[in-house]
Amino acid sequence: MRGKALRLYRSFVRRKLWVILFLLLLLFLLSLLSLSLGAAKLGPGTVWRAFFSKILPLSPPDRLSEVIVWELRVPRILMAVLAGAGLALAGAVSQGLLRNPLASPYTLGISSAAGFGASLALVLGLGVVGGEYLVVANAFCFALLATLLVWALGLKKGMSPESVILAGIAVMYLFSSLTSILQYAAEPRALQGVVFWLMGGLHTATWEGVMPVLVLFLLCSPPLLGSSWDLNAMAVGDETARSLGVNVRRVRGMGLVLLSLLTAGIVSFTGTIGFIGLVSPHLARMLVGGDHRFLLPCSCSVGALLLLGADTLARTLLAPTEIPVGAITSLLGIPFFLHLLLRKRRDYWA
Amino acid sequence: MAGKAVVLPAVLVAVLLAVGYLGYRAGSRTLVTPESTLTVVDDSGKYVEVPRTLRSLVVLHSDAGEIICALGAENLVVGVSPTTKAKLAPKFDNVSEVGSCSSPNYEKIVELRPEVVITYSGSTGSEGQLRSRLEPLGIRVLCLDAYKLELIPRDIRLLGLMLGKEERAEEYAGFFENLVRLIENRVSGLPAENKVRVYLEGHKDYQTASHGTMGHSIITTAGGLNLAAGEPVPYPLVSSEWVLERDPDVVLKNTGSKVLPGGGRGLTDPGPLRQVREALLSRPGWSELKAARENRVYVVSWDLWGGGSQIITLCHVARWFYPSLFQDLDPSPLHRQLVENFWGLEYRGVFTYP
Repeated sequence: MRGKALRLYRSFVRRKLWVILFLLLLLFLLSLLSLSLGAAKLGPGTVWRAFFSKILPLSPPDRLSEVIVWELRVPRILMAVLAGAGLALAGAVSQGLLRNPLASPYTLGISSAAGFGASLALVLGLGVVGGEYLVVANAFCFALLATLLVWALGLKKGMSPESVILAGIAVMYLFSSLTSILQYAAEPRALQGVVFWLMGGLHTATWEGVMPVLVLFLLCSPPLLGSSWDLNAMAVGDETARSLGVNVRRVRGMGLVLLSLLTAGIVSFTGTIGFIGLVSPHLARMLVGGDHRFLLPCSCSVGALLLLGADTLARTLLAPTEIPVGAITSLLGIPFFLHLLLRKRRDYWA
Repeated sequence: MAGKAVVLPAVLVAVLLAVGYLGYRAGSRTLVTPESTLTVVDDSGKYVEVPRTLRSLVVLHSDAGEIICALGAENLVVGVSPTTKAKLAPKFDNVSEVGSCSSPNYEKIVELRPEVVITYSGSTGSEGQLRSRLEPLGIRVLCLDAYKLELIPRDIRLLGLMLGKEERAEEYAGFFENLVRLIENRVSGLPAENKVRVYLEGHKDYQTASHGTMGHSIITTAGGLNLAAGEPVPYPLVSSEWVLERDPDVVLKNTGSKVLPGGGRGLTDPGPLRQVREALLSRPGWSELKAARENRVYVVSWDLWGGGSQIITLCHVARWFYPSLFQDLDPSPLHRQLVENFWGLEYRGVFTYP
């Protein structure tokens, strides 16, 4: 009897691992496809020669294809994967921590604070540091400020999910109204810059941007992924989690800070890319269920796939004109989402 | 089990890191290397080293595009923004599109290997991004803010020097300078109490323009008093009450591109412009305005509010403000001269009403 249960459990787990593995394989194939597509007309052969010339002792085909592949396409693909995975992870963790299906990395007001920081830099040229990284540094600092605000407000109220969400909403509206005021005072040319930033996109991805995001991802994701047992316990309710020995306040506080840090880093380089952080965890939940041990890595893969797919379409569909990636992520993700939602008989969230 | 679930993304990340590191070491050899160079100062105040004989250019805004057409150097342009293509059609019909100032397509630009890319200064022209990405490859970024009337002659001469068309540049820059000087001289003696008081409305209803904007500088250069000059934001939204209370002598309206997608250039009859004017006059109380009673409500199509065309708007406005001072200044032949003789395009359309 016991042996049978164990066997069933193992095959249950194995199936979920296969799903994640399959998604990762898909992500790898999509990256290869994305690498060979673009506004510049390079044949797949040239692209591959240029790509491998850096890894294997091969001579590059020519400087132009080397630049296009290594300076433009590779960093952009990496940024899409990192940003997609990071936002989705942050989304899945925030939904778990706050026990709310509508939570997303932006629930804490991070995106609107980052948007305000960026607008300050774009409209008034004001910022914490000068030069090339003015906009990025500003966005990051204001996102951290928002996190701190929400965290402090939440702490005061005992870190209950409701208080954190309400504090997040207050911070979000505060910064978005400040941004509106700035936009009103902006010169149209600066305004255009703000609108573009707020729309978000990966066309600005460079190695100098990929590296900090990568480091942040490597720092923040292990503790977030590692909190899956605590999240599983908290899914039943704070009381139950506490009785199982989970320090709910600490887990929630730390989790929120880490996911905010990760989101702030991504958002300051890409602008606010919506949808990924909200819907990827739901897609993942429909694929592997609510166990956070599988849900978190699966969300990462789904988010990376969605964003990379959307960005590849965004830069190739109407090339050389780019479509805002946010528009495509929703168009691409919603049909899947609805399909899975309608197919499930039970309410999957509860 | 939790361990295994963490391993998968960790492996993925390690692969990313390795690829990233390799890419980071990508060489710094340039794509474009000119033999002999010339150092110029662009409108962002930066020194830019450009090739002494330019062979290829990417132009991200039509304000520079029209100067290049006027200098007869359009054959050097290898890439343009979609709006430049549309505004100066058919000049650049066979030239690649490379995205706009605010979202240039780097891949396309790099593929075309231009020696110089022309954009606006600041974040609107993606100046920092363009510089940090293209300059390591030897592609120079030149910021020209020729949307400002006072910078147009300077930018014309700068491009003339770079393109070896100094004589033509002098002639073209003179066209602007002479008209501005003529208008400034004639209105310079006007006492403040005799100046017309002007309300200017942009494409958005009740959005006017304060000091530091193109609209304000056109009004003041033509000797008018901008009613919104002292407002704190550049494009303030005002209330109908405010306009009625100030009771302007003249009302100017920019049609905006929603009403007139192709601009005045494609029009054969003034119908759309007349409708804009009728809509203004049908606002509650507006028919009682002094400007309405004296028939001094003027509509100007949006494509005359930017780049070189704004000199034509300036001429129209000066004549509307002070008909007796500018009886001999007929804007239409000047407009024809600008479009046909300088830009080499066909002149047709309806740009102002009445």
